[in-house]
Amino acid sequence: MAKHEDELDQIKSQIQEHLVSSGNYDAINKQLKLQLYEAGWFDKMSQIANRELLENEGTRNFDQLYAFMKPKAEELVPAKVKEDILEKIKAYLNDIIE
Amino acid sequence: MTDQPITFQVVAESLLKDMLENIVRQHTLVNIANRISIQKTVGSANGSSFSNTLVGSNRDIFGQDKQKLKSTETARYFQCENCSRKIAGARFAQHISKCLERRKR
Repeated sequence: MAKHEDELDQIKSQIQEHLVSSGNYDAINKQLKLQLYEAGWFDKMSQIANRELLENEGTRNFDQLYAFMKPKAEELVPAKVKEDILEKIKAYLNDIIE
Repeated sequence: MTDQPITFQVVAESLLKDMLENIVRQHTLVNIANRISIQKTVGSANGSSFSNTLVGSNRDIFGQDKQKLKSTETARYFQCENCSRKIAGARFAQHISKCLERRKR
């Protein structure tokens, strides 16, 4: 299990390096952010964060708010956005392996 | 839990998850920074003055009741500069256009 994860991490870090140096990381990240904006994801996240901060005024630090937001954030990403970005990453992976 | 073979799908999903985590981290930081800066500007310790910014709140950004504000605006009488009559706020716009039209004739 750990070995499998190590292997995945190694492959991932190599791909990430290539992604960043080729400028593709920025392009895919920008597309992801744009699609999330268009889907209203950022607004929903701000509302959730503001409500949480308001209800626990002064007691929420960054780690606590991040732990609270993370599962909700993943849940709220529209399936279409996920699909589009995965396709884009897979197309990039295809390109570099060829 | 069984080990999934490392496929394009697995790597792509893992990369997407990392990207999302970074975005959530940035967004969380922005939210906390905004909240702190608003608190410093307004000087509110309990945040009660922000309750009106929530969706569905019945108050405007100054904390005034929207419904009440609307009814006081419509119930208020304004003097028409053209004919000197007192006209209710709700009918003022309609009146002024007719009144000025009348004057032109």
